[in-house]
Amino acid sequence: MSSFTFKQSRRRYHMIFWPSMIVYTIACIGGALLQRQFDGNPIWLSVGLTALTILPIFAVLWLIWRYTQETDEYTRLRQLEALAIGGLVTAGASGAIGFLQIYEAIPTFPVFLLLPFFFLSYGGAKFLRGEKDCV
Amino acid sequence: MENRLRVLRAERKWSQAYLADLLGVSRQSVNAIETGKYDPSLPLAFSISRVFGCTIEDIFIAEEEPEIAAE
Repeated sequence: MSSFTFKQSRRRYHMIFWPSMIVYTIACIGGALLQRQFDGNPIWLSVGLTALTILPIFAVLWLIWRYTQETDEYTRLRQLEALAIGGLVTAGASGAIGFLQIYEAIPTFPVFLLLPFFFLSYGGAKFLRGEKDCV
Repeated sequence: MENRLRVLRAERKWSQAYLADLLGVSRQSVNAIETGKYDPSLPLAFSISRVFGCTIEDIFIAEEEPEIAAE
């Protein structure tokens, strides 16, 4: 059994999740505004903005894994099912989109969109399985 | 696996949320166990039995098992 109760693990999740999302949102919006201030893209700006947006993403991915380990066994099972569904749907979609691109049936698809697609399918799986209150 | 969790909880007038707090699990977990959607692990079953002050067999009713042939 986990050394944390369900409530403790949920609190630990939210304590990092929301600050990460705030940093991510500020980096996305602020980054776009900041880029307009400069002619061309100075390398320090590109690297800085990339780091500011990527770090919160990795923080949230790590957080999901930590929460999965710390939460109670039933929630962990549901969490793993939702992650599996999200991963499988994203893998299927990326494969299908990849072949559509190879055969030039669709224009180039930005790979970046696979991340929100994963979170959407993962979140959707949690919601549809009635576990929307678990996190 | 069938269980008497709902009955035992009702006898003590405990809510699912209160029992979940006592066990350190989510309310959804208690609901899933009560409705038979989820069978708890052995450590959680022991925690449940401790909370109610009875044995695991008093709470969980094992399904009929095929007879094991004696050697």
